[in-house]
Amino acid sequence: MERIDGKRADARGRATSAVVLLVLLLLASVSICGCTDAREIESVGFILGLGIDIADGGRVRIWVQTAVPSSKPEEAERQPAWTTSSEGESVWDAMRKLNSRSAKALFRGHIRVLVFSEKYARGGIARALDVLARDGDFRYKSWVVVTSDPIERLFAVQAEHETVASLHVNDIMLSATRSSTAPLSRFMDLITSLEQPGDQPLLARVSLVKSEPASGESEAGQGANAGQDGASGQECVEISGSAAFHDDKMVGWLDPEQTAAVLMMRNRLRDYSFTHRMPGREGGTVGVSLSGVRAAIEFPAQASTDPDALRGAEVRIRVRGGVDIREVNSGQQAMNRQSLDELASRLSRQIEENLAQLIHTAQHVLGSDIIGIGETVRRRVPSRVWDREVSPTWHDTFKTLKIVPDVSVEVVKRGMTTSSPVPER
Amino acid sequence: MVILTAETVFATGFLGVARQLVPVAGTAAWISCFLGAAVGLLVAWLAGLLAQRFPDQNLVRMAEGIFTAPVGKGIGITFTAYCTFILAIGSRQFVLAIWIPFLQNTSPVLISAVFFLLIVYAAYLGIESIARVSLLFFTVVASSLVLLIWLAVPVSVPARLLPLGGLGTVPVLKASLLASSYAGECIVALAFIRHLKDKRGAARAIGTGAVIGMAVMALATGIGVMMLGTRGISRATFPALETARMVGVGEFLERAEILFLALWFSVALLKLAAVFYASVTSAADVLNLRDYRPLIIPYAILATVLSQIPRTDVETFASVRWFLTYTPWYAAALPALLLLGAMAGGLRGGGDRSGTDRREAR
Repeated sequence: MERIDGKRADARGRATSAVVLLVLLLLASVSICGCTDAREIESVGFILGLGIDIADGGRVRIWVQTAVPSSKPEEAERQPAWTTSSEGESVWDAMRKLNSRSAKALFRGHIRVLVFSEKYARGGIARALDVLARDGDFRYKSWVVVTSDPIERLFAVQAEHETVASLHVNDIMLSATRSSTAPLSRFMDLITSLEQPGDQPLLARVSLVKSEPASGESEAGQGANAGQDGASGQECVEISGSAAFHDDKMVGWLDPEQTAAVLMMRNRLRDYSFTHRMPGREGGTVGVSLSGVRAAIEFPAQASTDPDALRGAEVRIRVRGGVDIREVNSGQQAMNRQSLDELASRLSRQIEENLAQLIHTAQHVLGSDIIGIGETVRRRVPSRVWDREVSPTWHDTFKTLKIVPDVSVEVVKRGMTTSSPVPER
Repeated sequence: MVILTAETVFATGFLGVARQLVPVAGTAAWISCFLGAAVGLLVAWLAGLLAQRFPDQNLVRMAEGIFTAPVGKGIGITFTAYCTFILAIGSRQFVLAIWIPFLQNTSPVLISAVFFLLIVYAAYLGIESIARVSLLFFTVVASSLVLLIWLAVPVSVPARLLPLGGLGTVPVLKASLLASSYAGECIVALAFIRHLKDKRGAARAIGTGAVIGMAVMALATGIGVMMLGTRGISRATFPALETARMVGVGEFLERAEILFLALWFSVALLKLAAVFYASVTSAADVLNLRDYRPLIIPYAILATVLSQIPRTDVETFASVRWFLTYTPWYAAALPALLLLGAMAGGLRGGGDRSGTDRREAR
């Protein structure tokens, strides 16, 4: 009996050892990363920024900003990035030619920003997306921006705290998207809105602006979204507004207010602040920020069953949310409920006017459904109806809609004081 | 058995299931995964009835007993061939998922060789060891999927799943037929049933495993649509990987898909090891061998060669179409045929231990 127990114990011990060994082998297999195609870090050129422009004769010109890492302290003063360009029939062709001229293998896994020139964007960006979508190395979280300025000058900007322009744009995009003065325009946002039926892409606009004449180091670059003085003391980078697209072609620019209005109607507004001018003799201004804003797009009930009813239909965009008072520079201190309600009503009207102006621009100037009404329709009608009856003519149907913004906000917070601290008179 | 069946159902298929189902069913592709689980439940029910009739017999002995020895061996050969096919395309798909985005300059034969080395070792250890390790790794993979969902929340748009009905009832049913191919893979469990102590629980174990596996498939499809939309997910070579590419933790953990793929790689290995074991033991039974182990190395070489036949990704995906077309019919027909034969002959197997059973019993 003991011998049998002993045999069983041995067998169990062997089985346990085998399981442990199999687990270890499986874990070890994860670390088999394939040394056959290993590349030494010194031989890799890490691309941080990629610019795409149109060259003469319709060819594609790309700009590549590559990091030049310094391994020794004495090399720290050296230029941290290197920018070069190449031309080709397509982005891939230009990239291929650049590779053949580069001593390092160009690696696209660290691209932080992809910059399209306005000219290229107006011609259609889809032809540049294919090569990036196929590339397993390219990051979906890279920023995609459009500029009307020369890309080589954009990549030449050196900010005080970040001397590589691509990394600097990455930093200020993080700030600009938080304050909703620019849309969240990462590569994944671009391709999902491009492919989503009824949606249209919106990409951040990056511009070069002349820096203010600095009277001292501390006064330089005060804007929240502005880059600081360039090393040349001439230009800095600013993220301001967005580029509106219809399908893959850019159709126009939106300023920061219009961009915020679009984001508000698409429920993508994260945090947005503006100044409201108070009426009356006392006048003055009130600075507010919006919080918890939600927009709902409402159609006539008939439109869900009869797609023809969409043409010329009244679409109501109901926006509800809260307002935090950040600053009051007015004699009207909004101390009581009635004055707070009046302020909320005036703020609602101001937002409503902004939305109405943006809707007019979208329908009659840009001719693109940047508001995302088409996407709302797609969700409500059967997919087959959308594909066959609505989608082919949506571009025209959108222009016929009577879109009515209906905004109602209420003052939620007034900060740590209910009235301005003023000297006794 | 539950975990082993669940892994058999989802471990390789979930990488590309959305690409197959979304073009057919649209936004309702995830629902078709649940409908497809019905085939898994049917197979589980039939397998459970078989297990109760022939508690100690393997598939080939059952078939030989019900029909004649040559017919039984023929049925065993079809089962071996089916397992070999899913082993070849399953491993090829995973090799492509590693080769295309990550190890672009490494030979796919080398990646396959690493795959099969581990599979061979697992097969030598036997089904008990594979099942135990599966239990460990299933928890890890389930955690990775929970993590993926959590990371996907900020970048996903649930409204992209609307309209819920997708492209309509008929397309959703067509997609569920495709999805049922994955659920039908639980037929492989017929090779393991005899190792269960309580055969009465076989149907429930296989059914639960199939439903869990298909729920993972539905999750992968639904998240994919929420993140990439129907068009984006339909064009992705490996939708699950594409989904993982879009998530990250802030600005400091990028390329998270490599971590996810590493975990999925482990569970795919275990699934393929189980399928390898099923096919090699069936082959041993057909050949009346007392021990299946002498067949492992030649069979591994054969499977490695077969997995290299679809040379391109297009050929690999064409092979997947064959799998999608024929699996549900084979998975339902095999146990149904055996059961009908047994019922017609009034057969009920006893303690006949033969072939690899006899060796396992020793």
